[in-house]
Amino acid sequence: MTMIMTTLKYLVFCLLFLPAAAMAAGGAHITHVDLDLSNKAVERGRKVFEEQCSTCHSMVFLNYKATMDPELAAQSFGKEPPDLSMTAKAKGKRTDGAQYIHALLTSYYTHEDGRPDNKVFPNIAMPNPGLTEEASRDVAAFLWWASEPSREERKTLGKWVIGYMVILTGMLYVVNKRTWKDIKKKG
Amino acid sequence: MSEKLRGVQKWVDRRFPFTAFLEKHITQYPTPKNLNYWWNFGSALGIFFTIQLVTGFWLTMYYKPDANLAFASVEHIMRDVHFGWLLRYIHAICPSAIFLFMYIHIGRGMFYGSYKQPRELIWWMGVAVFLAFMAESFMGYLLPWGQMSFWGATAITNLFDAIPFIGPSLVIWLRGDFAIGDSTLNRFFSLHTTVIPIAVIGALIFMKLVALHHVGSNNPVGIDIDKKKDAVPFSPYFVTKDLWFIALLLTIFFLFVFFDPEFVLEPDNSEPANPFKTPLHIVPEWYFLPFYAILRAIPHKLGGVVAMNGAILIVAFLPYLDWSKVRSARFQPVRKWMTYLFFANFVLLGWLGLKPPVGGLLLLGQVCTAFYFLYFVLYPLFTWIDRTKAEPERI
Repeated sequence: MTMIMTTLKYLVFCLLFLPAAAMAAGGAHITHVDLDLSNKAVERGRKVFEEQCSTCHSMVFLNYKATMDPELAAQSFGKEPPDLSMTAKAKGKRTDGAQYIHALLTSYYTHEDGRPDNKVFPNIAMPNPGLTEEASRDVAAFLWWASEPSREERKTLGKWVIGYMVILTGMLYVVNKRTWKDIKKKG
Repeated sequence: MSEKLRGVQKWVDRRFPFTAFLEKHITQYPTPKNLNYWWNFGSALGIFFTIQLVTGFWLTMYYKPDANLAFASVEHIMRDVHFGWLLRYIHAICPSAIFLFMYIHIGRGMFYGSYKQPRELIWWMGVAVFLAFMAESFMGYLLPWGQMSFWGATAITNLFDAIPFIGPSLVIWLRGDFAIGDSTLNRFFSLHTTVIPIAVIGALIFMKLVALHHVGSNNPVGIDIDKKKDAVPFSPYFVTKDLWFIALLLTIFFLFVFFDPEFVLEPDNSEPANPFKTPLHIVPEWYFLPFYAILRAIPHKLGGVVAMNGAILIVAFLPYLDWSKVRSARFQPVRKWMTYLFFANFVLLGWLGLKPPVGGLLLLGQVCTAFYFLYFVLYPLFTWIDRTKAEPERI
């Protein structure tokens, strides 16, 4: 019986640590940079978007229409340029989507045979927009903001809610301690 | 209480047993005084389910169950509706809390033998509530009409195809179309917002509480209690205990809602459903992962479906699989550690559900699946042979 017990206990601990150990391995393929996601960067990015990106790309949830006719764009590039309202949220959790956009915009290269391509998005239909490093970062910030404009309001309100909940929980805890005082004493 | 209010109470009580109901179920309900915090998740589930009803009711005012409008209407809620983002995030993250609490609640019942007589019916209603919540969250997940909504629903409804003879027709009947489409969205919306939450989950929870208050709560020691000496009235003792603990759980819940909703939300679902583009990985919500791992461990479609459903239904047989004389696993060392092992195995299955089932991981998934069922098959044996420590006379 003792042997069964020891084996069982050993197995429980092994099983619990296995996923944790495996989680530690693994990695990402996009190089993360220190992105500025402030409102200033977002506004700069908005300008770049309006001047360059919005020629082909729409942002329906922000009422941006592409200046170029979508059908014409589809004919020229072989594919209709996607709407960018939700891209930053669809391409990764938290700020990963912004990192993805920055990485994509700065990963254009030319094959030995002269064919242009993209390391992050192989066989991309979009030609290199030729943005500067700064402009790529700002566009990433703008698209990140655009994918969820309520983010700032959420975090501001969140601080008040959590503060309130912590105080409420503490007070209710004290109330409960007092309720049980006599019962606990008697055992 | 003022004389006037007392008059109103008397007037009502003559016509409806209001005071008697309140005393029986809340203020005077005799509750074992030794309940530990594992007993707090039932009431927490009640509160979190109510949150879902309230936020869901509100969301239906802005949401449009139409394949052409659904995705944009969710974004309308997120961007234009006052505090729409809050309603939607609460409603989208709450299922994670509900499933986590349900797993803890079920695990507590297994460990302390809450399924044993006279609480078998409560246990079965609980299994039914769990199944109903699975259906509820599965259907709700289609409504945002994102890529994962569409492909998740496609993958799950495809499973019915494995049923011999009627399978293919059944899939079309469920979807209301040859593929997931507008008619599927409409029927899922209807079921998700009316029959399942109110007539199924709500009614089952109500019946479960009636039965529970009829036989009384189990307790960590597992012995029948002396209602006079071992119990305390629900109010104030368990009102304050439940309140503070629910406040704690809500604080943690709000941390995710306000600061990290992406912890549970899938990025792929921020892309509108596209029937012509399959996502690279179709992963179910985390709370389905252990069963998903069991499904994929069996290299035969029908076999996998049977194993997955069997894994849930087998839990209902616990009242008959348990041959021990005591309820609580505290007094049975082998059962206790086998149950810990079962819990750890369940967590591991969940992790395996995230991984592609190839090579060593497939084998590990099969071993874990085998242990999952072996636990139940051996249950009569180890509950019967296990040396039982002496239970105390009183709690």
